[in-house]
Amino acid sequence: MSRARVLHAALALLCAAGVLSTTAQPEAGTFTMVDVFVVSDTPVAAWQVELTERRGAMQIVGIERGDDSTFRDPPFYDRVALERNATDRIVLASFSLSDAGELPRGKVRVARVHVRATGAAQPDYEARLVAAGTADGRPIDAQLSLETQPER
Amino acid sequence: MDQTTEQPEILPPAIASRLRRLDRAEAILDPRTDRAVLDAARSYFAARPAAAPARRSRWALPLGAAAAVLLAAVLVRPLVFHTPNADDVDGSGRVDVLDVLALARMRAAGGDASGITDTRIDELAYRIVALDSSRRAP
Repeated sequence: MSRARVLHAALALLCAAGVLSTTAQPEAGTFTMVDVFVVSDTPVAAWQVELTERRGAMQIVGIERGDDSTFRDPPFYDRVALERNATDRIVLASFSLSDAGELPRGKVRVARVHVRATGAAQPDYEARLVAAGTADGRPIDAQLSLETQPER
Repeated sequence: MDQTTEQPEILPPAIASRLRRLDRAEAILDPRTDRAVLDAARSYFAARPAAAPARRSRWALPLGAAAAVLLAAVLVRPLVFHTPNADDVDGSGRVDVLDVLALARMRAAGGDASGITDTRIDELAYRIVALDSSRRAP
């Protein structure tokens, strides 16, 4: 085999390897954990939250319950939202039948949403408390807050 | 004579004779003629018998009244009688997680005797979080 043929074969192999490595790379995207907190002096037995990404460019890859193990894991959510490549919102809800003395109060992390941001710009999350209630079913005028952190 | 604007008065004889026939004097009606016609018309209609009353079914009025009452009842009913929503368990007027909690508490208190199943609780919970309006709780 001539030296030129060997050189051509090596070049072809290099090109093929380059193409294969490019296609095998995972899609670009930023993975973030969005923690949802309900802030209430009254023990919270039920909550319902709507989480929105204003640009509609989030892909939800997982949902977990918060810190209190008496709440359902994961919270109720629309399973269709996880099948979508990009969505602008999701509604989460959960409840606990524990006694008021055992329920969390103060700043309570009620859910963690694992999100893959699909756009180049920074995600712009917003949360709205749809409802929250006490152990005996009375509505609470609680506050809501979000904290985001990159996935490790 | 300006040849660009005026034309000689030359018409074909056939058209001229037709125009002459149309050019007749209008009949002038005297006011006395008008009055005579009016008097004759009045005396004619005064001699006619009065118009017979329209024939009306004796059921027309009660049936009309009944139809009006029925229509009003249909229109006003949703405003007066609130149709209860089965998902609005706590009767707050809206369906949210507090209704799911109320249902779960009723189940916890009454057990199977309450007639509430875990499936019904889960179904309501999934309806309140549904994103599509077709699957959402009202």
